[in-house]
Amino acid sequence: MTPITYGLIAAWAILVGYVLTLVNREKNLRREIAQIQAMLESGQASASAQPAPQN
Amino acid sequence: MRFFRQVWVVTVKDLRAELRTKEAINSSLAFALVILLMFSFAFDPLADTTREISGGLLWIVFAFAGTLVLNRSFARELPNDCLDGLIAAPISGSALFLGKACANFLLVMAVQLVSLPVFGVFYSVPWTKQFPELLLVLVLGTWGLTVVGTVSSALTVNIRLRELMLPMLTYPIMFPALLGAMELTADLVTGSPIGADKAGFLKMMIGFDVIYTAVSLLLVETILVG
Amino acid sequence: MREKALYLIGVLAVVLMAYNLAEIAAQPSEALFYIPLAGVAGLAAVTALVAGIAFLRTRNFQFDALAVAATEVGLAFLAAGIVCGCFLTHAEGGRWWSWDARLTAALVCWLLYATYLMLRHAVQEPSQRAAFAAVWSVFAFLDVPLVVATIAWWKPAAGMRMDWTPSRLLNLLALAMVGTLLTVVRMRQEEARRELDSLRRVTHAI
Repeated sequence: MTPITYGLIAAWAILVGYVLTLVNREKNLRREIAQIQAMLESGQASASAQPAPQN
Repeated sequence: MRFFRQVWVVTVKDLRAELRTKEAINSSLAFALVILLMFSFAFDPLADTTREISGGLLWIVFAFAGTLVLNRSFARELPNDCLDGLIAAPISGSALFLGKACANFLLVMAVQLVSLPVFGVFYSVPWTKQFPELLLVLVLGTWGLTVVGTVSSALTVNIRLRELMLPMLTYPIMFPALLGAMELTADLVTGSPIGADKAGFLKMMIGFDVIYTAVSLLLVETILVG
Repeated sequence: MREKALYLIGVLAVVLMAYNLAEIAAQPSEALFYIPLAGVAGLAAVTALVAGIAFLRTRNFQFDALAVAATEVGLAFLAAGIVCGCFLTHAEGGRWWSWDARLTAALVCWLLYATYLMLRHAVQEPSQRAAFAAVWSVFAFLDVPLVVATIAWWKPAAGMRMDWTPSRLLNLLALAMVGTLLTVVRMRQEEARRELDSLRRVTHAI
């Protein structure tokens, strides 16, 4: 492998690294969506468990 | 003319506030002298090679010491909601910005003009030989540093790591002007006039100052008001 | 439908680069990539500038998402270009970093836009962050020609030809498409992040 090939591999490695950060971000976003969905559901469950306010 | 009167009022206010306590200017001056001393330890001050790079060293000292003054410029307005008061005042954001920039410029120039003889003594360079041109380069470079630094100060005034962010924002933008100033000062401080090949740097510094002053005046309203 | 368009762009980019494979195999040279990588970074900078100005005019946060996405992708491409240039310098001279005008200017521009990202991280409030970032991208973009010109005066450029051979142009197009792809992906993530933040605020309020 010529030294030049190393250069190209390094350049593409950087781009691939950036793509990996994007993938990571996506994973974190999905996790947060699941979290918020869980919070919403538990909030709704506790709200419907309480009796309706008397006017 | 109202605009310039407003600028004058802000400049005088800032200068008066600073000269009463002299915090920023004293610490900036002390910092400049300390760095000059450290550079004398790092590079043999009497060697000829050091004399060649002394112009560059001088501008590193000025850049670092100037940051101390620039940091205070908007940070001074934080206690007691002075910044909100200033923004609510019936002056335009650009008048406020220009007033602060002028005050900072005078303060940083004062620090530089005091450090310059000390520098001349430490490095035994004939800095008085080309003094008018040297003064011109100092003024151009300092104005660029002040404008960019005051904008960065306005940007970072409410940020957690203000003292860290201000230099990190200012220096990369300043690279062209600092490079030009260093190249020109390296010649001027050793007593030789600006070479023909370096005259382009002078034009570039003037262009830098004009461009960044114009852009700052246009955009500072957005920064201050949001 | 948008996903399909993105996949199409990706496949097209790969096809274009495979077209150049013959030339790469004959005479491997990262000159084929070095200039186009920096070119894509330049395009990204222009995109970020336009998006920033558009945000300041319309206050539409989609432009802010585009600005940050374009800047990040541009930084990634510029970093790849700088590393490529380092290897090229090493192959030619033996040193890893020659103070070549183009390489040094690229590094300074990289630092410039890295400060943009740092500013974004430091400001918490979303609309203030977007406004500050837009202002800073104007400042950074204006500095780029000054940096390039000044460093060219300081150390005159030597070495590789800067001409745009057809294969370099093709590579530029292919890399630009890859860049567009990454920008769109990142932009959608940024908008999703913003919606998530507002959802989170609503959920806490309930």
